[in-house]
Amino acid sequence: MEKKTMLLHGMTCAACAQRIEKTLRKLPGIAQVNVNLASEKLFVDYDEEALTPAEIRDAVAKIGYEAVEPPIVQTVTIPIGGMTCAACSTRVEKALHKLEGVTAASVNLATEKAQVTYDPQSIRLSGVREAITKLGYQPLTVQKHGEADAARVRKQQEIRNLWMKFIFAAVFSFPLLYIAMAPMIGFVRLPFPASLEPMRYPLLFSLVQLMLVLPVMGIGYQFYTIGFRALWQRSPNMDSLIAVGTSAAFLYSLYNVFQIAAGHFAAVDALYFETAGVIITLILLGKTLEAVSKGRTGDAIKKLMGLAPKTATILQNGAEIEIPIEEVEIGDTVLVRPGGKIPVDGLVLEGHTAIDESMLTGESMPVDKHAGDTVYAASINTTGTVRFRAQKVGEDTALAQIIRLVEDAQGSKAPIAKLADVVSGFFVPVVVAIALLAGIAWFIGTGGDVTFSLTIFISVLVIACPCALGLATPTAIMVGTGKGAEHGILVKGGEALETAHKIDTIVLDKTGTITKGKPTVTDVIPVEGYDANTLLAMAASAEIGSEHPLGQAIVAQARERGLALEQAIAFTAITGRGIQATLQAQTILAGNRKLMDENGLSFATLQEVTNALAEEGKTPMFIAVDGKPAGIIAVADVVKPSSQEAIQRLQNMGLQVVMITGDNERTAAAIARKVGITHVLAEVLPQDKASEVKKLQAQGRKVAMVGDGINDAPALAQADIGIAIGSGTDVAIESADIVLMRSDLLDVPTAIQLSKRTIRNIKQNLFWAFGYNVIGIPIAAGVLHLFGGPLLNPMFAAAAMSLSSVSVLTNALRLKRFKPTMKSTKTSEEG
Amino acid sequence: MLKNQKVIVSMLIGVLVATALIVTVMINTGGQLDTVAVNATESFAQMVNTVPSLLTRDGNGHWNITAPDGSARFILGAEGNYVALAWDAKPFIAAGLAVEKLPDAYTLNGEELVYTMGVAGDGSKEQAGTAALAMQTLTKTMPGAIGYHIPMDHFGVMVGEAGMFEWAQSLETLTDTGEPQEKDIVFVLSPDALIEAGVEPALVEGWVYAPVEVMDGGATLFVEKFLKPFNIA
Repeated sequence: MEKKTMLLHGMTCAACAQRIEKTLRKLPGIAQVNVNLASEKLFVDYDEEALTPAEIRDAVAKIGYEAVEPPIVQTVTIPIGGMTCAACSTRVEKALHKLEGVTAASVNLATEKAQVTYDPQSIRLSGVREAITKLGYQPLTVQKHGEADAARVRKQQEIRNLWMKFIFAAVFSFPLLYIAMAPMIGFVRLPFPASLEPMRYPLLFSLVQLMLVLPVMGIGYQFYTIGFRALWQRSPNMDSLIAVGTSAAFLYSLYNVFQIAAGHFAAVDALYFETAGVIITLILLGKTLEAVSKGRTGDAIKKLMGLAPKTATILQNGAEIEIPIEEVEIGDTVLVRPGGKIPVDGLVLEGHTAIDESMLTGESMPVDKHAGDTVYAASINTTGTVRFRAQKVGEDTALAQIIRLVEDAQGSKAPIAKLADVVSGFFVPVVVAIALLAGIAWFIGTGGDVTFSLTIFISVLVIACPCALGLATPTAIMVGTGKGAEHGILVKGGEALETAHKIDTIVLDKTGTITKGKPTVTDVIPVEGYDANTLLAMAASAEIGSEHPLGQAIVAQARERGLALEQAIAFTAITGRGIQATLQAQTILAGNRKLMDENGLSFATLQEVTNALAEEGKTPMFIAVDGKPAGIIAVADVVKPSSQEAIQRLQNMGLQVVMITGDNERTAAAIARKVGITHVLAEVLPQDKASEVKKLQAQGRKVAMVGDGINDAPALAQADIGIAIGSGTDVAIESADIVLMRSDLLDVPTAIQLSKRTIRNIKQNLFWAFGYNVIGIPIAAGVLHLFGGPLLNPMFAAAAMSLSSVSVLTNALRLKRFKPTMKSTKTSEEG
Repeated sequence: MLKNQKVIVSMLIGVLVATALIVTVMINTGGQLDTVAVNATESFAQMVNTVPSLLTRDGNGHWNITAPDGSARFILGAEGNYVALAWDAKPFIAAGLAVEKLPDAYTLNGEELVYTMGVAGDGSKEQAGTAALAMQTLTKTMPGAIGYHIPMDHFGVMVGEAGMFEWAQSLETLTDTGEPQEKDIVFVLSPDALIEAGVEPALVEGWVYAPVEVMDGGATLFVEKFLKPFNIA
C-alpha cells in the first residue's frame, strides 16, 4: 500500500473537496482518501499495483481540478565570484532566466549571490553552475533551501496575486458602485458628472458601467471557468454560485442596455452591473483574507521547518569545514559552538554544554549534555562547544519525524467533520434550488417583477457559503495540532484530538510516567560506628562493577555526593540476592534480606526502619562489612516533581485517575498516596495491562492510557487514547495517539485541555458556518421582506459571504493564543 | 512564459468582447450616444403631428405649444437656442402673488407670466423648418435642458428656474409597462420663486401642487411642483 500527498489546485469550497474524495474513492485500488480544504492537500492510500499517481491526477483533472506532486522545484543560493558591476549581475540573471527549467532567478550584486529556482527534472544544478561559469564568473558553494521555502514562496505568490486581483477589481468597482449608487441616494448630494445623469444620458450611464464591470469580471474569470465547468459536470461549487449570480446580474443588465438603446429608458433603473462587479471584488477580498488566514493556520509547521539551520560545521582531517546541511552524512563529526544550532541528530563525543530543546519538547530549561548524550537537530547549544557524531540526518532526524507527524495530523479529519462533509455534498445544488424557487415565488408574488425576483435569486446564490463549512474543522485541527507541537505535544490526528476531549478515565503507568523510572537512593541508614557517607562510599565502591539498576543508583548517589570510590579487587554478582566485593581493606556484602539471612547476618536492630521503608515503597539494600551489619541503603523509583500537580489537575478536570503497575500492592499504594491517586491496579503483569484497560472500557468508560515502555504498547493501543510520554520507546510512540515530547506528566492535562479547546473551537466554527447559512439564506430569499422587513442587497450578501469564511478562520486562529492553564483549579481547567 | 501568454490572450479576448458589446449597442442606436435627445426629438415630432392644433407659430417665428385650455404655453425658438414658458398669471395673483417680487427673469406680459431662457435669434421670422427640427437643434445647443422622467415616461425641456415642459414618449402607452398614458403633456412650474413672491400654493386654482421625482446633481429628489397635465390624444 502506497501513501501519497498531492497538492490540489482549483478548490474553492467544501463541495470541491467532497467531489474529489468521492471521485477518487471510485478508483480501483484506493484504500483511503482525504482532502484537506484548508491546506489544499490530498492524502491518499492506494495499492500501487492497481493504480498509479498519474491515474489519480487524471481522475482529479477530469472533474476540473489539478492534483500535483509536491513541488520538486529547488531553490538554491549560489554565491558568485567575479561580478564587478550591475551589468555583470544583469548578464548572469538574464542567462539564468534563459535556462530551461529555471523558473526564477535573481542576482544580487551587493551580496554577490544568485537565487535560482529550478526544476531538477529539467535541469541539474551542475547545469546552472555551468551556465554561470560559461559567462566567465565563478559559482561558489551552493546553499539549498528546502521545500518549506518553496511552499512559502508559492503561498506568498498566491496571496500577492490575490491582492493584485482584488486591487485591480476595486479600482474599477469603486467608480462603478459610485456611478450606479450616487443617483439613488436621496439624502445627500454627491458630486456626479452631468454627462452621466441616468435620466439625461441613460445610454452613456449604462455603457460606462458596462465598461467598468468587464475588467472586474475579466480579473475574476476563474469564478466563471471553474464555476460553469463544475455546473456543467453537475457538481456545482461555490464558484458556480458566484458565476451564476453575477452572470445573471450581468446578462440582465446587458439586456437592459439594449433596452435603453431602443428607447426604453426606464430600464436604466434595472442595471445591476455594480452588483456583479462588487460581488466579484468582495469575493476576491474574502479569498485574499482567507488565503492569508489559511497561511497562518500552518504557521506551526512552517516554524518547525524553519528551525533547522542551513549549514553545519564538520571536522575533516582536523579542519573545520562549513557545508550545507544536506551534505552532512552519518558518521561525520559535527562541531557546534555556543549559540549555534545543532544541525542533525547525533551522539556527543566531546564537550559539556546545556542545550535548549524547547523548540522540540516545549521544555524551557536547557538540558545538560555530556559525552554519550544524544543531541537533536534544531536545538540550540547554549553554553559550551560540543563535538558530536552525526547519527540521523535528513528525513531521519527527530525534527523531520515531528514535522511528518504534525503534517499527517493536520491532513487528517476528525469525526466531527463528517456532518459538515455530508452537508457540503449537497449544499450547492440545494442553494441553487432555493434561489430558483425563491426567485420564481417572488416573480409570481410581485406580479412579474423581474428586477425584484432577480435580486432575490442573486442574493440567495451569493450569500450561501459552503467555504465556511469546509474550513470549520480542518483549520481548527491545523492550528490545534500545530499549537500542540509548539508545546511538545504531538497529536497524531483529528480523531485523536476529538476522542481526547471525551475521555473520563486516565490510566497512568507508574514506572517512567509517574516516577522517573530510574531507581534513586532515598535513605542511607548506617549502624553505630559508621557514618552515612562512609557507608555509601563502601557500598558504591563494591557496586562499581554492577549492572543492576539498584547498584548503579548507589554508585550514582556516591558520585553525586563527590565521595572517593575505590576499585574492587574482587566482585561477584549473586543472582537474585546481591553482590559480594573485596576492597583494599574490607569485604562488602550488599543485597536483599535473603542474602543476609543466607550469610547468617541479622539486621534485627533495623527491623522497624526496614518496615517503614517498605511501607513507603522503598527497597532496602542491606550492607554488611567484613561479616557484620553496617547499615541499610534505601533505593526507590522517585516520583517526578510535577506528577502530583499533574494528577491533581487531571482530577480537577473530572477525570478518574488510575495507576497501573507491576509492583506489589504495598509499594504501589505508597506511590499512589504520594501523588494523590486512590484507584490503583497493582501487580499487573505487562501483558495484562491491555486487558485492564479493556475492563475499564467494558464499564462504559472512555479511557486514556499514559505510558512509556515497550510493555505499555498494547495498552496504549487498546485505550481510546494512547499517550506516550516523551522519554519512551519508539514502540510506545508508534502505538500512541498522542506523543508527549517531554517526560513531564503535566503535559497530559495540557494535551486534554488543548483537545477540549480545539473541539470547542471546531464546534463554534461549525455553529457559525451552519448558523450563518441557516439565517443568511432565508433573509436573502426575502423572508423578512415578506413580513415588512428589509430586503438584502446582493452586494451586502457578497460581503457577508466573504466575512463568514474569514470569521471562521479568525476564530480558528484564536487557538494560536492557547496557553496551558498551570493552576490546579477546576474552573481554569474547564475554561 | 506560457502563463504570460495566457494572460495576454485573456486580456485580448476581454477587450474583444467589450468592443463587440459596445459596437452592437452602438449599431442599435445608429451611432448615437445621446439617445434621450434622439428619442425626445422623435416623440416631440410625433406629438405635434398627432395633435397639430396644439402647435402654432407666433409673430417672432417661435413655435408655441399651447395647453388645450389655453392656460399655458411652451415656446421654442425656431433656431433652437431659445425656450420660454408662459402661463396665466390670474390664479397665482389670486393666490397672493406680488409680481414685482418675482426675479427679473419673470415678466408679466398682459395677463401672462413669461419666463425665457436663451437668446432669440435674429430674423427668426424668416427661419424655415419645423418644430421638430427646432427641437433637434435645441438638444444640441442646450443639451442640459433636455431630460427624461422615468416614472412618467416623459421627455422634458427645462426652462431655467421657472419649470419645464414635458411630453410623453408615446401618447398612447407607457413604454415600459404598456399601461395607458394619460398625461400626454405636462406644464411644470417650480414653486420657489412664486412662493417667495407671496403665492400660497394651496390657493392656486387650476394647477396641481404635488411632489415630483427629479434628478439633482446625481441625486434623486422629490420636490413639490405646480403641475398642469393634459391628455391630448
